[in-house]
Order: sequence, then C-alpha cells, then structure tokens
Amino acid sequence: MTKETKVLWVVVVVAAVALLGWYASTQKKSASVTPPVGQEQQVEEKTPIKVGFMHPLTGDAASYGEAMRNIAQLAVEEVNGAGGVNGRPIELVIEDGKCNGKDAANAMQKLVNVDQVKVVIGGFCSSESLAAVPIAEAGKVALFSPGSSSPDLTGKSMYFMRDYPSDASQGSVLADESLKKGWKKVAFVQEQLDYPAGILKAFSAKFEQGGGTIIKEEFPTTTTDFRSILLKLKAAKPDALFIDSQTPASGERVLKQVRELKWTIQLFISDAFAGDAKTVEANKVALEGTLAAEFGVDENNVKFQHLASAYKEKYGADLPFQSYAQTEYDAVYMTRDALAAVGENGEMLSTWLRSVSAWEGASGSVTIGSDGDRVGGHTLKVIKDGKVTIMTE
Amino acid sequence: MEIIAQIIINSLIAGSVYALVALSFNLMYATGKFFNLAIGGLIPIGGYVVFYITKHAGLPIGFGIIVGIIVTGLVGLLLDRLIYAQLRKRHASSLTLLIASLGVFTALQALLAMFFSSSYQTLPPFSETNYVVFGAHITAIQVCILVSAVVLSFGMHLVLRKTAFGTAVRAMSDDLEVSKIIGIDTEKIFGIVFFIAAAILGYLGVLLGFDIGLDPLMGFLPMVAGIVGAIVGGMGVVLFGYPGAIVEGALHNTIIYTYSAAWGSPVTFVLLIVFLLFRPRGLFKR
Repeated sequence: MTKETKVLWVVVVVAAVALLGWYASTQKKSASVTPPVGQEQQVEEKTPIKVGFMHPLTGDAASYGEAMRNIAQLAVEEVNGAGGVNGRPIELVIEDGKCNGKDAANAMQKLVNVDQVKVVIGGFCSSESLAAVPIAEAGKVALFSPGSSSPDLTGKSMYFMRDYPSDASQGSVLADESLKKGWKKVAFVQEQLDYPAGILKAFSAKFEQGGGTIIKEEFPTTTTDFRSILLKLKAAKPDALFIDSQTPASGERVLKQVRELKWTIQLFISDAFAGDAKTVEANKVALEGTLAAEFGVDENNVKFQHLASAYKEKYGADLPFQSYAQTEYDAVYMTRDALAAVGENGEMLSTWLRSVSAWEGASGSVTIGSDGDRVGGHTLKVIKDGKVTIMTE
Repeated sequence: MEIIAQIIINSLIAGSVYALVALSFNLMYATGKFFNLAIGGLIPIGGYVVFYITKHAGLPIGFGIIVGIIVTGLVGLLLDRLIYAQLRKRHASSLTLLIASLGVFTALQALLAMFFSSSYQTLPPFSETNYVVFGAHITAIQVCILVSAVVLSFGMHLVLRKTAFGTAVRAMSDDLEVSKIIGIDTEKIFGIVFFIAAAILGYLGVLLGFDIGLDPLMGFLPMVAGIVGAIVGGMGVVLFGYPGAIVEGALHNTIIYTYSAAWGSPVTFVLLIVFLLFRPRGLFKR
C-alpha cells in the first residue's frame, strides 16, 4: 500500500470513529428495563422474568414497530416501578421480526430456544404472527399479539391469542358501506403480505355476497413503480380504489402515483395507514373523503389518557398509531397479570390469557374469546381535513 | 389511445432509470471489466444528502442536489482508491472485485440505515407541475429523468469518442496491460471514471428521491434492472445501455399491464437469461 493510501485509510477510520461517537451521543438513552439499584434491594434481588418482544424494528413497518417498542418499554418501566411481578422485574428481550415470515421465524426461534422465554408479546405484522405460531406451539410458549389482525389467525393455536380484533370485521364493515353506497366494482391494489390479503378476503366475502365485483392487483413490498398497475385498474373503471397496504409508507407511495395519474376516485385505506396520523395529515388533500375502518379509541378512557401523557413526557411526541398503542400497552399489563397468576409456564399463561374476560385496560374492556380473538370490532371512519373521524350519518 | 400513451410514458420513465444505472455500470465495466455491485449502495447517497441538507441544515434544494451529486462521486472515488485500486494492484480477479463490491453495497446500505433509519423518508416536493402528453400524465421530475437519461447517455458516448480521456477509456477497455505499456495513467483514469460513474448514480438517487422517496434499500432494484438493461444492450458499451434499458422498461410495463404486476419481474429475468444464452453480446452489432 502506498503512503498516500495509508494516510487515506487513517483519515477514513478516524472520521468513522468520530461520526459514530457523535451519533451515539445524539441518541436518546433507551428505556432502562432493569430497576435502579435502590429498587433492586426492594425487590430482594429476585431474578428478572424474561418476556419476549418481537416486532418489526427495521424496514417500512419500523415506523410502527419502533413506536410499539417505545410503548412496551414505557409499560414495563411502570410495571417494574410498581413492584414488577410478585416483586420480580420484567425484562423485555427485544427481537426484530422485520414484518415478514422468514425473519419472524428466526426471531421467534431465538426467543424460544436461546432466551427461553415463556411468553412473547408479538408478532405485530400478521405475517410475523403466522410464522411464529408453529414455533410457539413446539416450544410451549404463549404468543400474545397486540396488533396482528389477519382472520387466518383466528383459532390458530391454543398458544396464540390477541387483544386486537380480527380484520374479518374491518372487511365486512367496509363492504357493507360499499354496498350501501351502491358501488358495484371495487379495485384493490394489495401488498403481498398476510394482513393486506386478509382484509381483501374479508371484504370480498361480504361484498361479493352482496352482488359486487372485485378486481385486484398484488404487489411485492419492494415495489416503487405502481404506474402500470394503477393504469390497468383505472382502465377498468371501478367505483372505488382500496389502497390495501401493510404500512403507511407503501400506502403513501401508491397514493402519490394515483394522484400523478390525475385519477380522482373514492379511496379506501387499510387501518395501518389510517392509524398513522402524521402521514394522513401530510396527504390530507389526496385523502379527503377517504374511508377506513379502525378499531376505535375512547379518548375518555382514563388509562388511555395516562398512556398518552406518559408517552408524550417520555418521548416528546404525541402518542402514535393510537388504536394499536392502546392494545400494546394493555398487552404488557395483561402479561404481567398472567405471570402473577400462573407463573412462568407457557401452557398455563396461554390458557389464562385466552380466558381473559372484562379486563379493564386503556383499550377498554378486553375479553378474549375461546378462539383467541379479542371480542369487538372495527368502526367505519372517514378522513376529513387530514383527520380520521367517525362517520356520522 | 391514452392508455397506450401512458404505457409508453411509463416504459420510458422506468427505462430511463435503468438507463442511468446501465450507463454507470457500462463505464465501470468497460474500463476495468469490473462488475460493480456497490451501485445499489451509491444510488441512495445522493438522495439522502439532499434530505439531510434540506431537512436538517435547512439549505436550498438546488445546493443540496449539487452537493449530493458531488458527495456520491467522491464516495465512488474513495471506494476506488481504498479498496478496488488495492485489489487491482494485487491482480485480483473479477470475481474478487465483485465480492468486494457486494460487501461495499451491504456496508453502505447499513450505514445509511444507521444514520437515517430504515424507514421510508420523503424529500420536499420538487414541483407540482404535471404535464399531459397525448392523454398520458407525467410529472416534472419524471420529465427530468427522461431528459437526463438521454442527455447523459449520449453525452457520455460523445465524450468517449471525442476526448483524450474517452480515448484512454476505450484503450483500457480493449486491453488494460497494453494501455499501461503505451503510457496511459490507468489509475488516474480509473479514479475519474469511478467519480463520474458514482456521480451519475448520486444524481439518479436525487431524482428517485423526489419521484418516489428514500429508503436505504432503494438502490437494489434499479441496480439489478440497470445491469440487465446493460447486458441486453451490450455489456460495456456505453451507447447501447440506453436502448437496452428502454427495451427492458417497455417489456416490464407492457407485461404488467397485459397480465399482472406479479409477472413484471420474472419476465425481466427471463429476458436476461435468454440474452445470456443466445445473444450474450447484446442486441446490437458492435
């Protein structure tokens, strides 16, 4: 290597180290999940209980995965501050499911076999949960999802339960509205993942039963060029277009290109997109009058209000993805209650969680049915002036 | 009629993106027989620099664009000096260089994700203007993409024909050892080529950032498509990159429209295989 090259390498390495140091110093310290020293003595030096956490922390879905992680860490801190589980603190073991089956399966394998947790809060994306269920069963670990809504998960396994309702209701609420409005043909641009596919299935079941027709185009997550797909759907002259995306990011990309084609049409969006207040606000002109169905939020719920203000205080931002935030928060507390009641046994935890009835949480009164699903449903919403509001008619 | 016009416009837009990648790829392949996979990591840099400059430093977009292009060019040059030049000195095979470039791609993309998060980001809007051509819609930034691809591809071809630098590149492309013997400073030429090739990619990243948005993996698909386009046109020949890319873009969009979105990518790869098997020299006579 010449001297010139050696000098260049030294400069690059020094610059890299400096950049990393600067980067590290600008990062907010993430929530410390083990209690401080004083509290540890209070807890009589009991070993922490490891609870798995599997959500999408990278990729398009990271926008909600990271927010959910923040909420879970906030909840765990509160739980530990109040004495943990019978005096033992909860320790979250965090893994990245990347919103797809393959990576979620890897993450779940690690949690079950390496970390030996007995309960996992996750997956978040339906694709993650569907892939993780067989691993949960094999390892006798409870898999408790705060956000997976695919109808395919209903009754999937005695080890799976969710405090978020199935999209069977999202699909049927929107299909009912379409039939009411007299729409005959609805076009779907659907991302190729389980959650969007579930919404399409639920919608088309109801809609086709009522005499409507569906045309659809599927796209892999990595797609950025929707122009020809949209052109094709536009040429079929549908009454409405459903932007059935897994994430706000991919929904936004489609939406932008719908606008570029100067296609004015009634829109539907998935609740993952509608739940992102920031992106909805940023696209308010394009989304005016758009319909969606969300799992409702009760702003008068005391625990919900507490969550919103605690989040704002700790993270300096408004509570994001509110309908999922409330179930995420409740999931941590329900897990704590389950652990306190039956201890670290995956089978017993699953049974306990699946028999939850009228448990009062930030998301309201939670009852989980014998099929593992949260009892309850989605409400029809319309976007007006950048805000998602309940449809009043 | 307007549907056909829109399919043509869509094909041209997609083809132009691939053409810019093909141009960059051909330049690097022509000089050093180097199959550079770092292309995928260089593309986003241009877009992210504009993002940083406009959103964090609050400076004007135009300034951000120029800095973005230059920074990406410099990164390309740096990578050559630090990594590829060293490998060339040790007479590394093309395969070694390819693997090294794959490592560079992974590292670049990971660094971008670290600094900017792997979430999708958007740039401030470039322009609200939307044009209508024979009933088809096209935005201002897409027009930029179309024009840039043509101007840069044919401009680069002229540079290669008419300038001393261009002659040196063509000489190195014919035979690297003999070029050294007759006195061409091959290392200097490599440096200039890598700077220009990377700058073109940075510029593409800026254009894509305005058109579609940013994410660290955004360079991967254009890179693969661009390399296919270069192979279809004729690997290593700058002039053929543009037509090869347009053919690929047209095929991709026509298939999507006629059949379904899912068929677009498989058909593109069937195209690649067909060319590699039956016409590896590319569409055109050299």
